[in-house]
Amino acid sequence: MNGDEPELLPARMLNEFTFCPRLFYLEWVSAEWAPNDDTAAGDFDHRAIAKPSVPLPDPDHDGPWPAVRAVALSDPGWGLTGIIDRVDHDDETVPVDYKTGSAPRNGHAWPADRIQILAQAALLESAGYPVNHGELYYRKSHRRVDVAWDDEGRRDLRTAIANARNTAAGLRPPPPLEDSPKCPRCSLVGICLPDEHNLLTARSARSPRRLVPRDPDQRPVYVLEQGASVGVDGGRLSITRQGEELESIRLLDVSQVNLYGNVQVTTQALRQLWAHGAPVLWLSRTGWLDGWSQGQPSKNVDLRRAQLSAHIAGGLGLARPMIAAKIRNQRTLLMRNHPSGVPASELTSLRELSHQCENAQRRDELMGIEGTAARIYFDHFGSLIRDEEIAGLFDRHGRTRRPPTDPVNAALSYAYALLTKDVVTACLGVGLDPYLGMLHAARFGRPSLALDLQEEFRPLIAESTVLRAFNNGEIGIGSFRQTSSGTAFTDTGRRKFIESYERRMEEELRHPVFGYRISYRRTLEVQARILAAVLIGELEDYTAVVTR
Amino acid sequence: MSRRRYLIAYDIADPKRLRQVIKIMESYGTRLQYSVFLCDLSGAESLHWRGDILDVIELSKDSVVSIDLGPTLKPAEINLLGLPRQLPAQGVHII
Repeated sequence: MNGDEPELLPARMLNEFTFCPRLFYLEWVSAEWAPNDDTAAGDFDHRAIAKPSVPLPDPDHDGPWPAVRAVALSDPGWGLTGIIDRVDHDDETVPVDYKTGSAPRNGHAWPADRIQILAQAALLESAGYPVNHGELYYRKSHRRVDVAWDDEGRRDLRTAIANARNTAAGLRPPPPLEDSPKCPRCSLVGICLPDEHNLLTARSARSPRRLVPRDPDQRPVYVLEQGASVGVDGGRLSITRQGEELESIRLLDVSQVNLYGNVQVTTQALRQLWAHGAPVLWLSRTGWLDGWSQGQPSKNVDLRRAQLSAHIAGGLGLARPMIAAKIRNQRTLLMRNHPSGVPASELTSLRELSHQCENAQRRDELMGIEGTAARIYFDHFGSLIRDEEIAGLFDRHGRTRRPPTDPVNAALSYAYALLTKDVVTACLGVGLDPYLGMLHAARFGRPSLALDLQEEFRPLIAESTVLRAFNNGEIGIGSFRQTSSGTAFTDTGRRKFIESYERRMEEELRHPVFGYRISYRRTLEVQARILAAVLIGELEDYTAVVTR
Repeated sequence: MSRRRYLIAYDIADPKRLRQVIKIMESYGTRLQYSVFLCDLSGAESLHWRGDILDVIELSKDSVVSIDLGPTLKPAEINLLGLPRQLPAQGVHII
């Protein structure tokens, strides 16, 4: 024991440890949690059992007892704590644990459940009750399995506790199980990414099974209506203006809420959204990300520490593949969309620049390569737009940021702003600090990690949304207006553009490394998780998304 | 996207419990008729719904019926006659 871990080990965590040491580490040490249908079924089954009943009678109590439910016990001797579903008493005292699933065919208990019931037996015995065995009740197969509390049980429990404590004292999670049938139904599979890890660390040559949970059912909410107010009514988000309801949305359907400009939100709405895991982001009317709020920040402190050290060390090794991938994706976008073909020499230059990233020794060198590539890329970007007037305006100015001089520049800036807020959201979801980046300097209030991580996605998501929105006629010259601070979207143009952006996020790509199909939305999260694994030292290198 | 669509209807004998049930139903679905809702729910969400309802209703006096209309990507067809009704919709909201 290194004194870092909590003194008492929950009996349930011993179950997790026996099932999968990595799951145990992620849940207990990193405090990661994700529900799925199976855990919801377990919670539902425990509804009645989990209600505390009368207290447990003293060990020397005479006569029969009623069954006592939800008994909480701790014992410093064993270093254990736990809540026992039910304690029966006849001649001896028996801990009973309910399991939602089926019993194994061989008539014994599942090893993980056995260790857990042994821990409960140990807790009861230490509290002075006579225990000879424990019982597991498997609901699905209506089967009761007895587990003996004997010398062998004591020995196995002691070994499991020692091993679990040893694992918990480690600086990083144990490696994932290999090709295990346990993974597909594990609720933490999207956090653990077992097959992806094993592929990237070359522990397995097989391409990953598609274990990453499907796209979530929740979607973003954008409130652009000035003067609107976001509140909550029962389990619904209610958006009103001057007392009139504009929209009512189930909280179950909300992944994030984006408030643009003069829009209010109530404290009740904030709390409910946080409870549903949905962050709230405040943006200026023109799309600039001003701030955000989430519930409790991630409890994965080790990741935060690791990120800070990488940030201090400069993180060039992480930035290189991101910029290299960005340049390759820019090249692909030009090749795919240019009506008459980009000169071969330019394409070759882009490819070479992408390769040069690998050898960049300093941050400014890498940024120089990026800048050269961007000049080549944006020299040709205008030609990808079919409307000649709009393309002409862009070609006259080139890529300009502040102020945006023409519709294409305005749309590009707006698209990057949308992407930034989504990458920020992905970082928050994984427990990364969006402000501590590798390549972009963490200065001038810029979420530099989010900017780093979005590099590879700029051509894939932002620039391709701009191209499509113009070329499919979703937006045109009439979607913009000229102001003293440059070209800006009209209200209708902005809505249309957000719609196109969100459509792009729904689209699927074949993940270039893992081979399965996955939406862009989900890819952002997977890449943030891979980045986190690199920071914490589980993976050697960051593998960026590159499309063909 | 693993949600399924359920048609859920209820008869609640007591006005107080009825109000509580309506509150729960509104947070899980879209009202189709006075005591009929359409709810698009994942496996976990439908268990939460069930737990919330069981906490409120009296099993000997009230009745709640839920009919599975299939996955939300391909739900059973719904035909409406008369007044228009809103069906549950998924996706991004831009207000």
